[in-house]
Amino acid sequence: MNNGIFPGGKEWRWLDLRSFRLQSDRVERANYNKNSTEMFLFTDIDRGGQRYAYYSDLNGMYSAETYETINPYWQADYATVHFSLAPPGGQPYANKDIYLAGQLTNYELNEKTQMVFNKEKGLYEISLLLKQGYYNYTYISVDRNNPQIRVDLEGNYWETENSYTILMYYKSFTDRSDQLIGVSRINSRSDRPGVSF
Amino acid sequence: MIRFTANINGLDSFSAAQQVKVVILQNNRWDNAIRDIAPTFVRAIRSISVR
Repeated sequence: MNNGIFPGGKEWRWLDLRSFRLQSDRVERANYNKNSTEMFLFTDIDRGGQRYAYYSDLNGMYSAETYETINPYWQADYATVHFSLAPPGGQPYANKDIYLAGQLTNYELNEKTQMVFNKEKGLYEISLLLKQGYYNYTYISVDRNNPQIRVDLEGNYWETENSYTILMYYKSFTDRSDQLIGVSRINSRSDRPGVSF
Repeated sequence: MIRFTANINGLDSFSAAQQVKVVILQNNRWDNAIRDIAPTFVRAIRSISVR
């Protein structure tokens, strides 16, 4: 039985697509076609060996936002976004499948979210159709010999800021369904005893 | 590790371990939610703890 232990992960990678005209910090170049837009991002480097560094993030979520329109929900544009990840030495990870994950993929690990290794470039690549907004994402590795082993490719750090939601349900012996009776949220960083920042 | 205590005074529950269930989410995700948690103690003052 798991007693409430989660791997901490790392702070999430970010992608600012609130504007397609203003190419933000992670965007290398863009193709503005007549009927579509393509955004090419800078290659992500495996951060597995790096020390933990704090920065504020959305904890894997995204937010539909635009600079140039009033209402992002039905006025925002879409673009095909090309991600790439450089594994150490330009070699694919042995016996591992790599997936891009976040709320933007609904954390689903399937053929649409799996990174494909490009041998000529030595990079993992994936393309997603995304709406204008601010995105968080990460890379998840799955062991081919044991698919239950799904880990954050870049490791786990005890310092990582994560939010936790505790949901408590009650079902008496005569009830037909569970009732939600309590919700509590805690943050690993701001709710840590003795330290808050 | 997430540790918490919940007060169940208002509940009509003589067997909290079987009638109360807890789900813990990390960063609002349901794909890695922890569901198989049972209380470590149910105390006479009607609170349950997960340690």
